[in-house]
Amino acid sequence: MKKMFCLSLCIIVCFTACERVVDIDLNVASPALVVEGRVIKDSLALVELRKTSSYFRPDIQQCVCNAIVVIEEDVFGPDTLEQIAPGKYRSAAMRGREGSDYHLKVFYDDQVYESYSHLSSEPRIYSLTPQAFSSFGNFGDSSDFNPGGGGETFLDSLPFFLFTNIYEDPDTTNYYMFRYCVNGEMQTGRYNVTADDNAENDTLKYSPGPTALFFPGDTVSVRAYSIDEGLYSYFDMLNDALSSNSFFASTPYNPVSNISGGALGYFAAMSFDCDTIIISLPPDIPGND
Amino acid sequence: MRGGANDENLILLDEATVYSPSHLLGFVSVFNSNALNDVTVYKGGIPAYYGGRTSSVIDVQMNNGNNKEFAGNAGIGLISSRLTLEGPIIRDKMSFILSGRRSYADIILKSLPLDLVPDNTQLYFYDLNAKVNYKVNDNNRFFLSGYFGSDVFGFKDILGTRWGNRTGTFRWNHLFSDRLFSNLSLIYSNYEYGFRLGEDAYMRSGIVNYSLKEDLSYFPNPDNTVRIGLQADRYRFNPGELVTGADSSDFRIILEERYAAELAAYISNEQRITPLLSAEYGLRLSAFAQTGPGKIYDYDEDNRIVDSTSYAGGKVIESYINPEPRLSLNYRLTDRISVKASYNRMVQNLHILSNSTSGQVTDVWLPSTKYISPLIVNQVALGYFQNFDDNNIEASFEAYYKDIVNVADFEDGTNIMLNEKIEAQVLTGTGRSYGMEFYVKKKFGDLSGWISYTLSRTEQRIEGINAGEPYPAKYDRSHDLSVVVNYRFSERLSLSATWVYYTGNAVTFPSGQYLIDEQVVPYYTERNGYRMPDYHRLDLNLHLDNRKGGRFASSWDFSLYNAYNRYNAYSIYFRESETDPAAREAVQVTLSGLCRPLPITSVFKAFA
Repeated sequence: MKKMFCLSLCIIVCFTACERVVDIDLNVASPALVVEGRVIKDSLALVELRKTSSYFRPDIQQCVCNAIVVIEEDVFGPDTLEQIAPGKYRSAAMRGREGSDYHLKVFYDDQVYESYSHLSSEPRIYSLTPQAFSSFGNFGDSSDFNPGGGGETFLDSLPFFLFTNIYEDPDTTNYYMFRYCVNGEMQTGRYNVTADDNAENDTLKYSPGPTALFFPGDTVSVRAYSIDEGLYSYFDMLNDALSSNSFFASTPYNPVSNISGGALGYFAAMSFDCDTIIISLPPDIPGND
Repeated sequence: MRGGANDENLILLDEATVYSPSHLLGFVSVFNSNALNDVTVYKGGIPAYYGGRTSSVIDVQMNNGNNKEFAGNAGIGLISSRLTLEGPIIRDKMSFILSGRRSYADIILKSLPLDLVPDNTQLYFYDLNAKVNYKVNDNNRFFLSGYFGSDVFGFKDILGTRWGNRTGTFRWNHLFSDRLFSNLSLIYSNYEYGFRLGEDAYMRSGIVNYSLKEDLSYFPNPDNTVRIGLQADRYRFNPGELVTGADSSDFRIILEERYAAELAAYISNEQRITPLLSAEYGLRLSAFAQTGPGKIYDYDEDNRIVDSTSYAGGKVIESYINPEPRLSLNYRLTDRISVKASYNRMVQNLHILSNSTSGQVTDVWLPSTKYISPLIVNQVALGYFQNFDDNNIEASFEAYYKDIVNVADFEDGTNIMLNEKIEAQVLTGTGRSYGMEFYVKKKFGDLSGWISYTLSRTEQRIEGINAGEPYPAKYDRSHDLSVVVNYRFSERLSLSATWVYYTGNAVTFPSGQYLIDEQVVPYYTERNGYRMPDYHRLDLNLHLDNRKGGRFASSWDFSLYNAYNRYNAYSIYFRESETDPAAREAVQVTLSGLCRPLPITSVFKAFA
């Protein structure tokens, strides 16, 4: 709901503002190494290396091709990844295993970049429960609210929150990330992360609130990832970086990476569970004639 | 002002603090000129009887009302209309003034046959000034004044936001003798903003301030004016609460209210040392305490709460005592030339927590706490003043330097909204500000006006921000220029033009980007390393007095706001280009109404 109010104020500000594209002269920073490394349970370890580039041309990405990438695991031992495409390094045999610690080393340009990540136990989704937006408050004569003109009113496009209920071990501190695939399209722009602070009776009931709203007829696949604390912190900050245009955004900053040596990006060992639901309009919701 | 942030200006209306001095996000001042009697501004050499802010003082006095006869004036404009009534309640003993304004952009927009806004749109501000004074006898006089103002944006019953100030002042002036004068004041001030979603869900934040003040003025001889005083303040802060329903079981975040008390004592003397040299010197001692009830958290180095301590109501949690010496010298070289020098130390215990992208509306006020130290500013200033042409032209040059201690900023990633741990994310360091001010004013003749220019720099160094390197304060302005010209064509017709220009605020923009999950992530290299576009604007006003008829006088004002259609930036954000999806582009947001010439016509009527 906190985000809902941010959204509301943004609507009001947008309503009273006009926009235009302008030329801003931005400096081009010295290129920094960007690491995107993943060890997913049962999948081959994969690391992508790039460099930062000019802000206005993200289509021009500079891959790092002459690095040595090593991942070490307790049982498997060290494994040097093969470059399978420019800047893309993959292990030939190392797959993610629950409970293992992974140690990443990137040797590049006379410098070593290192990171650690723990592959936590796979989460277990109990159920997915949609809840209509109108359950969160009395909206008075909102059925007449029609800011965009046209034939639709507020209730015709009534959105739903989607709660994911997962098993939560009360004896350990756990962190989770949720991703949503709607009608076959993965939702991007926000990493929905949470700690287990609000778990009750061995269950964590999670919804990202108004940042992920769904509509009747949507087929929604939810992936619940189990992540470690360092990743939770990184993705939480990455959300700030991706939403730095928001009215309530903090002062812009670089998310603090879990990789040493001044590299950007992250190294993640993760496991996940997946479930799917089709959102339908309950009979007691006004407008469902 | 002089390198200070918005919250460093003490803005007083009949001694009550006004926490947010503008309507419509800065478009209109909260001060209604029809209700005002006098405005005094201090940027340096601030007397000891003012305190609590480090940058400047703007002391506004409301009109007492006409105690001889009933009078009034009214103005009807395209943006807002106003009405002022004043007169005696008991002739020569008791009088009143009542002055109000209301804008009606929503009514105009809804009445146009263009479907520009939904019917339930609310978009207006209003304010009301009221004052009564009663002269009991030659030695005693009472004043009671108040201000109530609010801005409202939203869609009725669906969502909306409202913010505003309320102040109240009760004053008792008592003359003990020809040489001793007392002013006792009881003051109330309140600022609150809130957002509403539906009928039951809301979020709000604010500050309430009660103050008791006794000021004695003593005139021992014609060369000295001594002022001694005491001021006691009580503050209640609401850092934020979010409630989504009427039942206690509904989702809610309620940050604990904070309380603080401040006691200040001062003494100052305005002295004519020689016929050419005068001085004003004094000392203010301020004692500030954050008090209970409240729970104070202890944090580890990662800002995680590790412990807490609960305090009972009135119990001191943290306190600060600071002396504030003040000195101002004025030496008259000739009848037309003088030089001034001043030193003042100012201490501020109330802080606005504001991020670099949001407007003032959402700012959160907090007291000095265990984690947020008082802001302390030492300022020295030197000025040269000269008049020309039989005092028709005034000119001055002033230079200043400020040493700033405990300047605060947020560490990376701090979210100010409903953040329980926000004080742990405030970092403090040192800063400095220095600059030069030029001012020329022509007072008389058909052509009059003034020009002022300030060249300045304000920077700060805070460990943990910008890699510990100095960086510009976001309110740093290199150049600030104002030109005001009035030309009188005849006794009835005059034209005025106002042009303002200043360097854009310091902001943090990306200096590169990278991809994560095929999403563009901005790459930042320094805090406040860029500038918003420079701001400039021309306003024109044609004033025509109608011929007087009996007791009535009236006039017309034809105003053009932003005459040459300058799109001044409110904010800038970046997005995927609409014409080339592979590229990014910068988008400037300009508040509506400020991005095109805005004609403002008003008719003014006065009767007496």
